[in-house]
Amino acid sequence: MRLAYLWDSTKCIACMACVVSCAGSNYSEIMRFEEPNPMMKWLGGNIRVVIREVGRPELRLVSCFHCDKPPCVLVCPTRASHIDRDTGLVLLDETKCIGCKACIVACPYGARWLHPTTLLPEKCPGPVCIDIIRGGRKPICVSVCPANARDFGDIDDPNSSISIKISKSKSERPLELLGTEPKYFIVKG
Amino acid sequence: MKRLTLEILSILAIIIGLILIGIGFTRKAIHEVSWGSLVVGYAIFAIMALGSSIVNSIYALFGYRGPKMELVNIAKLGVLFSIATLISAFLIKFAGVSRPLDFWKIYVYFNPDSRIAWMTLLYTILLIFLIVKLVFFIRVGSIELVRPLKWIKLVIAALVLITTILAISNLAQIYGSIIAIPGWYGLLAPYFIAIAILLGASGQALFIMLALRGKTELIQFLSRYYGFILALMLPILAFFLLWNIVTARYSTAWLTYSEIVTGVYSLGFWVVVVVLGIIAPFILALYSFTTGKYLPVILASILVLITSSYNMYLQIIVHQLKALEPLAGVIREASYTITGSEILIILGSIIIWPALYVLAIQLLPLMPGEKPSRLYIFK
Repeated sequence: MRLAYLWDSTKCIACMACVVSCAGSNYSEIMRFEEPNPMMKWLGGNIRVVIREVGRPELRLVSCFHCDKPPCVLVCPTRASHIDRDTGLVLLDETKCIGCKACIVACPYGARWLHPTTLLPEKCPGPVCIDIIRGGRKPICVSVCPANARDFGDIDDPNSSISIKISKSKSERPLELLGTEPKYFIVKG
Repeated sequence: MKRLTLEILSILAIIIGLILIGIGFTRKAIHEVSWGSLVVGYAIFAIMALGSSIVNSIYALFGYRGPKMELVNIAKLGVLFSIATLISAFLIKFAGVSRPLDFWKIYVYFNPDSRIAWMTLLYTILLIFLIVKLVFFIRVGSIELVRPLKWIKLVIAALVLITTILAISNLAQIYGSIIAIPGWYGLLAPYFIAIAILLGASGQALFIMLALRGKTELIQFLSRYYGFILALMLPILAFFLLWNIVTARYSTAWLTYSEIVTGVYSLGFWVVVVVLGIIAPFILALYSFTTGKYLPVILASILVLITSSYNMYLQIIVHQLKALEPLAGVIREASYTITGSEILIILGSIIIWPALYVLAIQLLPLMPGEKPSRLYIFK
């Protein structure tokens, strides 16, 4: 099984429900801070918004893309960052992490951030979403999306909703040239 | 100053240094960049220790002893300098991670794909080899070695040099393999080797010549010796630096290199790194080499140590300040200011560094002609 994420840019209404629900449910303990993610001057959550300003403004959502060849896993000295054998997701075992921050430096997407109180790296899926996924359900960002612009599922299963959407649409993966083989699909049409 | 006074002072300095590191660690804060000044401090100490090991191998492995066995006489002090510097590097590294007490997990859950895992292993092995080398030198003294001992010395020295070269190559890989930061691409391995030899020779010039003050003839030789190494390595460093800039000019690395060469950091780069860090010490080192005067090479060494630290700051931090946000095609900017916590940790390590050196000189027979009389290796 290889679980993957999908974001349909043609359906997204930029309501930020995914961004806020990720932060609020996974990191509620730091929501009271003025700057819960001081590294990125952003919410303490795993989804970050960037705007393409060249030409017509376009929104992009940055989070862990669960690469099949993840630079963060390669640099981790203790194997705390690893690819989960059961799901194919890139996970972080906090019991092994020493907080060297190499994974944050190594991620070419800038998807990791440092928790302001534990000083350990954080990434998608957050602690609450991990339990949800292990229970066989879809992560919070997917379930809260009012426009049905997000999906999550097994790309090795041709009958999964994500596989069907990928096959029926024009999609791309972020920065495929880097060779990290992200499991995150952006539907463009 | 009496031996006991020096011992007490150096132990006090070590305690103060550890307290400063402890206070600094408990007050750590988050930066917008992942690797801040602690990584710079660690890199400087680590590179200096490695460079010192390379300089030591001139006698220990390649056999050059000086016209009057001068390098034989300073061999133990040179190894001690590498050890004290490597321990200071480890201290900053421990304080730099969020969970220093879990450092052992690097060995237990060793990831062979991780350059940082190999770095930790290589520095641990190097520290063990250096201690073995120091004990060997103390036990055999500064005598002309008989054949079996000569072979043992060569094997130990070869192991130290091989580990050193592997460690420098590894350090270059740590930065060079990170695709997220193009400014770290380039000729880092030869650049790091050049800067390591410079820092190692400069640190040794300061520490060893200070320890040997009063021994005029030896100081005169060492002034020429370290003057020669600095005068040789500075143009080589300048060449690699220029090469890195030219290479960066035609890649995405120019995004941050331009800030260093022509942007907001350009004054610091040209004045501190180029004029005070390369040109001025080159002239001073050349003067010491030709005249045998010690003051110019001491000054050159101080300049190299300070300016190399600033150069490393530029190389490690400035390249993290601007990143191409690849999904949106925009540039993500970050800011960085050194924090009080980082200053305390670096200050603590800087205090411990000479204190370890002085304490070891008081306890162990490391000065020319000294021999062990207690517990195999003590004075």
